[in-house]
Amino acid sequence: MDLAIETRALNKSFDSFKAIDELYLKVPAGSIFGLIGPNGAGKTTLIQMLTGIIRPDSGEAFILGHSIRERDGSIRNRVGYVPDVPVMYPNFTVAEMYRLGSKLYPFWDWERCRELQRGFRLLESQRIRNLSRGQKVQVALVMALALRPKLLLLDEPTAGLDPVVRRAFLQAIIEEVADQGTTVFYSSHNLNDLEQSADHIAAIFRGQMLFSHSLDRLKRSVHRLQLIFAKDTPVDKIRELSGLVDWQSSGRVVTITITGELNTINPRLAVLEPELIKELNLDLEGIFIAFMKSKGYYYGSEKWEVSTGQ
Amino acid sequence: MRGLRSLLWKEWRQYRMSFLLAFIIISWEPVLVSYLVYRTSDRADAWSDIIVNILASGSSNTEYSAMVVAVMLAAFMLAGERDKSLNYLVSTPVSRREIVLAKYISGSLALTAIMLIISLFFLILGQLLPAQYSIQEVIQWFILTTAALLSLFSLALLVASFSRGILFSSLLTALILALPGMMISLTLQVLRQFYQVSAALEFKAHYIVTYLFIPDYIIRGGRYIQSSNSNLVINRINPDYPIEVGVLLIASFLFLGLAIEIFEKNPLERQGELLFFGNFKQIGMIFIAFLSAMVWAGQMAASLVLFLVYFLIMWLGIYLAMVNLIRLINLIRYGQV
Repeated sequence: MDLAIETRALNKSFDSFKAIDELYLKVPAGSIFGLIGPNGAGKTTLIQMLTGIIRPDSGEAFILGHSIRERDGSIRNRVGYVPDVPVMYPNFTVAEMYRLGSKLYPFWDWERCRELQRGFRLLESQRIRNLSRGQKVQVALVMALALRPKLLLLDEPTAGLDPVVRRAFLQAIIEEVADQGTTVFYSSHNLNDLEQSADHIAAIFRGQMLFSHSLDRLKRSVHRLQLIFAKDTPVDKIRELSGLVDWQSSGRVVTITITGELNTINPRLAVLEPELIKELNLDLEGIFIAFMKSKGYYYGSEKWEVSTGQ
Repeated sequence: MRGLRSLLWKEWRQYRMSFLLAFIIISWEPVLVSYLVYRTSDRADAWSDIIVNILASGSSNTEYSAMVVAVMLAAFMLAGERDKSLNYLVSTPVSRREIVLAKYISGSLALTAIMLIISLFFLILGQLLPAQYSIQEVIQWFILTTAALLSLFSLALLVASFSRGILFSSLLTALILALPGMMISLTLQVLRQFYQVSAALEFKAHYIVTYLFIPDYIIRGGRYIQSSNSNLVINRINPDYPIEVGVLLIASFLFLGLAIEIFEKNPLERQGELLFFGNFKQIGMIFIAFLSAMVWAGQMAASLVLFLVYFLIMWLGIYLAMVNLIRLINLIRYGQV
């Protein structure tokens, strides 16, 4: 399997805060890979290390087969990057930013640039400092796609965008993947978007990889089940269930989130003698929240409990 | 080369107004004052008085402005870009070496062009109107002053490669410029406490400082020192052009090389400034502890041996005190060391 991104035992600390902790990651080439995690989990730090903005303390990382430690800038010839808050040159016009991009990137495609420019309806004569955040993201995306990337690194780029622009943004990315086989590595809090577009999902928490699967496999291997008991709920036995991620009890009704294949889960649940077992719909957001709760990151009824390590 | 060419275009586009402002700041005195004197004075060559002062003394507003501009321009072009567009630039297919090189080339070309325009102004007017200076004086002034400015610019670029913020970077450059003189003065002060330091040794020390303090290559006042009780004189009023220009250009390239090395290692995040031997904060603390220990030990010790003992103990003690103070502050602010 060709890998667009690979990290091995990657570590990064800021003073005494461990931002990335022995991270292992493999991103298949040609995939749309979603990275999720709570605030402060290390998503931006990871992406900034892959782009060369930040240097890791130890470990290795490779993008398109090249180590990020290489001093030669040409490893980023086919890497597009859209940060959460694009910072460009305030006094440049949009046209001048494109011109800069065409000078920097050897595979720059002016036709693609103009096509995207027309699609986003940006004014080329406008100065960057006069653009809204959403418009800056659009300019950054146009530049990231016009360079004909093999790898796109997107750091929460749709946060704060209106639905129309967000949809256009996602459409442009999906088209790029379909036409050019570009790998998209995409961090986002919008799990609905990721669920519709990504084919792989990884979750990061306190700088460590929580899970990394194809979306299909993730959904096949995590289930939300509702168990209804005739008499007392066997709380102790439920807590001991292998693969249990999260559980909630309301009287005789227990809702559990559990990992594993259904054909291996059901026999384990049958031992508890529930009156009824019903599978509930579980989307990506539900999976994420359940896993975060298992790690101590959840909103309690009495207080907001956060264990982010800071 | 593609990356470097692209960056040179970027630097020109980004800083062309700054270069224009630099030109105005440096050139207003010779142009405006000369014009005003020309319009108001009875003497035909009075307009060139200001230019003669610039060429001869090296301590006019023009030179001082030029030195400040050289330092702040480098700080503005590199340290001032941190946390802003520098992150974007580093993520593009250019190396960090090319980023620093492009800033060096564009800033140096701008400073050279400014000095060349001013020099041409002197030369052309000197041919059209009665003047009190010669062509040779203008050419020598241009070569030496430009070399000194390039050296200052490179040093400021080196400091900007590991510091953050225009003002902080500029002030740090000024501190580093004064450092050789400070260290030599401090060392002499300590030695004077325990030994009879000869006037010859003191003069040699001052002589070395005039070569280590870059502004002294421009400012003539610092180049002439006569001892009050001996006939020892440091006289570099008439510069040895080939040697001094050579020293300045070598220094300029040396600072550039160091700036490239440091910037390549620098991770760019807020607490990550790196020098060769470790974190910038650590090195700063070691240095502050060194200076403090030198001053205090010098005041307390009765002999050189005692001075060395006190100095080593104080150096370590002050450094450890600073480290633990920062740990305590982190504990109070973040709840962990």
